Amino acid sequence: MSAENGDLNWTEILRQAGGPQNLSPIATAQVFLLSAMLREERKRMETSNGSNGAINSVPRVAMNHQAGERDGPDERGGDGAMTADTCPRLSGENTNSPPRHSWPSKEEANQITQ
Amino acid sequence: MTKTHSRIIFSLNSKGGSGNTAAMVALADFLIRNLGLNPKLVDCDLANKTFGSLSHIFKGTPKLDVRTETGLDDLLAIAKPAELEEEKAGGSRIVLADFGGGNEEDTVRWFNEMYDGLVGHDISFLGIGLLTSNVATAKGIISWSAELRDRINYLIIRNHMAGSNFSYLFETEIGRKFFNVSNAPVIDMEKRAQNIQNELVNRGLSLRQAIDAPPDVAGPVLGTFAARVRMRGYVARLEEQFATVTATLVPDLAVPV
Repeated sequence: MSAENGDLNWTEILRQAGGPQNLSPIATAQVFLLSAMLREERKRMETSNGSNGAINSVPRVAMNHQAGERDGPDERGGDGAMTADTCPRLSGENTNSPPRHSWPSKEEANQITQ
Repeated sequence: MTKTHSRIIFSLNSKGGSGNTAAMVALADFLIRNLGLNPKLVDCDLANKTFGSLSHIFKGTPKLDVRTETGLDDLLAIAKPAELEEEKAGGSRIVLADFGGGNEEDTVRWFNEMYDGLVGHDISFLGIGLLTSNVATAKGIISWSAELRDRINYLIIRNHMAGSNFSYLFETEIGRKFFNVSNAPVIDMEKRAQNIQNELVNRGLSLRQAIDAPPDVAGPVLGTFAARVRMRGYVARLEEQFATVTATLVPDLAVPV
């Protein structure tokens, strides 16, 4: 595996593995996920340190938490960003918890000015 | 019993020319080539009849008019065909729908009529909002979210095609309110050289397709060494962005369906 400034480079990992064509789709996806998790963690730490990125920066809101969970005691929750079951799916048992924040209204949308 | 989870990904398009189709095309390439998935593509942008539409770039993609009373039922039928209801294989079935502008009212009405009835059918929705430096794109995203709320997940793509000033969403109280409640991930799509983007549209090619295309298909603009190098850069950086939100795109990344 290679590392650039402590960050895993998934493209390089795939190249060293012989290219994505030599990996199963699942293995390729796992590389993506691992890389993304590490990158998110690094960015989270950078953000908490007050640094700021340019085009490739992803704000802290880039975590896929379920609505209403942000202010909970386990706000980041370790691997919360890559937890698969955070989407409001209609499985019958995993319904959304009531959001603690209210959604902006259509009227508010019209108040946005540049 | 493990049912197949269906994920419907659609664009929260309120304004044409914001790069919605370019983003959906790139996302389709990512899902297919990087994740090995087989998303069902649907072109719902009827205003874009030929050049650069999803059906122009991915041959065989059906066109679907969702601006009818039951138009979105057809999208649901693609996401959840009858055989999947009985299937035990698990995995994900992804539907990628490029909505044209002006679909908001019909989409919201459909959600109001159908959403509650979908409980128990293991289906979820992801709305992709393209944000440019044009304030209208932010208004559109907030307007969609005001109606759909937490019935869908959100992904915001900052398209730098016309500048990188997104302060009206990222530095306003309304924007903060949206991100607080939606937890929408944010990724970036960089500005592309105009001649390359125009030629991709004219020839009906995605970046990936153009890179792999023989000279006669790529043409004199896209077929040059410099253009291919440039396009490889676009693809690599965009794939890296998509990779950070894989779990949002495909919550059940399992056996491709």
